[in-house]
Amino acid sequence: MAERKGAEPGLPFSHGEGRANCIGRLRQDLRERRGAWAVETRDRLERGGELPTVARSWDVDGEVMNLGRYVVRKLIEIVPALAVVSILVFTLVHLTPGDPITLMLGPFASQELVDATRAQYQLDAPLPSQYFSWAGRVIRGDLGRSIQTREPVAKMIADRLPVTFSLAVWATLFSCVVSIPAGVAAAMHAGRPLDTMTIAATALCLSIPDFVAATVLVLVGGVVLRVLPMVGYVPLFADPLGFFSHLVMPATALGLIYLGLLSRMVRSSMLDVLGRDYIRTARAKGLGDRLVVLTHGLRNALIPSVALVSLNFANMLGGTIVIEEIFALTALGRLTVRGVLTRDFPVIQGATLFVGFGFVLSSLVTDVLLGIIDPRIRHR
Amino acid sequence: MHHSAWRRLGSDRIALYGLGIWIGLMVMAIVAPLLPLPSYEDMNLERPLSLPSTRHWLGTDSFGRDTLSRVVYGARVSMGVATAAVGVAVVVGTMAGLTVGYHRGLVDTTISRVMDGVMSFPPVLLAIALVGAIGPSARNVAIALAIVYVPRFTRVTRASVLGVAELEYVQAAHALGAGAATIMFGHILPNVAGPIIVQATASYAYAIIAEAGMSFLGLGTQPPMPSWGSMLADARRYLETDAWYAAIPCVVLSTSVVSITLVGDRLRHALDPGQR
Repeated sequence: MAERKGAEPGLPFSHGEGRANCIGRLRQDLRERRGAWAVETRDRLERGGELPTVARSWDVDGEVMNLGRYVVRKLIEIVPALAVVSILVFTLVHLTPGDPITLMLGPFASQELVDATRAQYQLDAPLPSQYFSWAGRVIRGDLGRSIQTREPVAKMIADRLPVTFSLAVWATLFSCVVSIPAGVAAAMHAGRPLDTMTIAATALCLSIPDFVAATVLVLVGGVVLRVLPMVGYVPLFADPLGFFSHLVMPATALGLIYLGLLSRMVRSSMLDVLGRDYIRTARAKGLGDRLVVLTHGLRNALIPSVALVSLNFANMLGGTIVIEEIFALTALGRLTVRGVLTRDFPVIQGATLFVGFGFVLSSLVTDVLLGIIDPRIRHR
Repeated sequence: MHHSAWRRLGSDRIALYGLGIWIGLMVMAIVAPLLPLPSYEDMNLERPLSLPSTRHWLGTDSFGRDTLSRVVYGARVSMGVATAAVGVAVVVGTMAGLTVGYHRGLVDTTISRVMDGVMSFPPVLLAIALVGAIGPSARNVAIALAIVYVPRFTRVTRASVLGVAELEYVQAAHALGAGAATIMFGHILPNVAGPIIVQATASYAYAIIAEAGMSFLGLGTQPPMPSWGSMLADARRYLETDAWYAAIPCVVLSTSVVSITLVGDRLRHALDPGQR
């Protein structure tokens, strides 16, 4: 299809083009491509009727898989993933050189105690049967007890979840609120200075390490301006204002990299969508620029971003270790680090397993969400 | 890799700046022992946290050790760990990706499942757990990061191989009687090298961040060997009084990572100019 002079790059016609003109060009398109879509659109346009919006036009062939069946299929699909993750976590601890019992009880334990503990943990059994008895306990929610504190690992994880979740939610919100407008604006100004600036800014966001950003934030917000608390966490219901002020800096530092990733994703999928036929159709209908971009464009362009956001969220459950350390937040990552520093294997195993399972489950949620938003995906 | 891609990269100013800084860091890391620097571990407790002077160009740290020397040797650790980790991951990951992508079958399914499993963990968490199992040291950080990055290369290679293996020139080579190894390394590998190189550049930048992060937590490079991460961890305790001391590792880390990321970014554009 030949591009008209004066048209925006990637768009088939200029904003001021009239409806009749557009119908004519669709006819020309027809001659060139003879697509069923173009026939249908032309007919509807000439009848002055409604245009097929994207969401409705997909199930034209009536073969979209039922959502229930799709969810069940996805549920079955995650079983091997969960198994692989648990086997990896199980193997991880067995990588450790040396006897886990010696590590657990220290070098001065009596032989009877060593033998008793070995039997208790079934460490004399072959590895596969050890794995299955461990997996059985995990399914019942028993992650063992910490060697250091004798606390159940499941409880230690549960205690730290509110902080982990608050941090992840705030960082996600921050990254979405900034990156979606930035990505859309960049796409609408593709190739112009605003676009170039956005790309440069995202490159910066992507490559400043989170702990460097955190240090700078602490320096500015906590030391120079003295407006924000430098460390710690306050529960939301105890002190809402304190909750927010404690999370602003960690969430910003954490969200930066995801902000960069997401802006790029929004920009490129928006550019992709703006070049599609249905956007041309929407413009042909005479819709204004803003309406076209926001309703027809953004809704479709955000589909890949939904996947990215939930992936990021899953990553934040366990990948915020350094940020937690800097802001002294007692969340999951610090639990792992403490486990590593004190060689507390049940804790390392439990926390890693939790994060791995969290990732698999959130990819399930993503798949289902995408299946709801975009029925085409259920075909795959 | 097309020659036009290299030409595009060669005329790209931003890429060249990034590449220049990257090469500079490498050279600095390699020749560090030859530079006329004060020792990075000689303490001078009478002059802690001193400002830059003619004797100590970047001042001294909390133990009175020369900061410039620690930055230079920190580059040695950073570059060494990143090069080793990414190097091993590229070789192992590419071989695995080529093999499973070309032969497919049950081995492909199994390996892909395991790789997906490894990728279910945030990289830093997995690296920390691995280091927890094998003990903290710069060498073990490199091993852990290599394990963490292998699946990324396997996945990238496998995906590209699937696309290329069906192409006519591969079929032609097969028809001419070329063996699997010749086809994989002689015909497929050169045509899937682009995405692998881009992935390697990105992983290099992340490996530097990961090494610094782990040393920041005390789980990476162990004293007295300096690392940019442990320098920042130390400097953070003096943030309220001596902020400049924290600024040095921050600036060095950010500059290196930004440069390498830019190289990767521009490289991706050079390889695929149509992509937006």
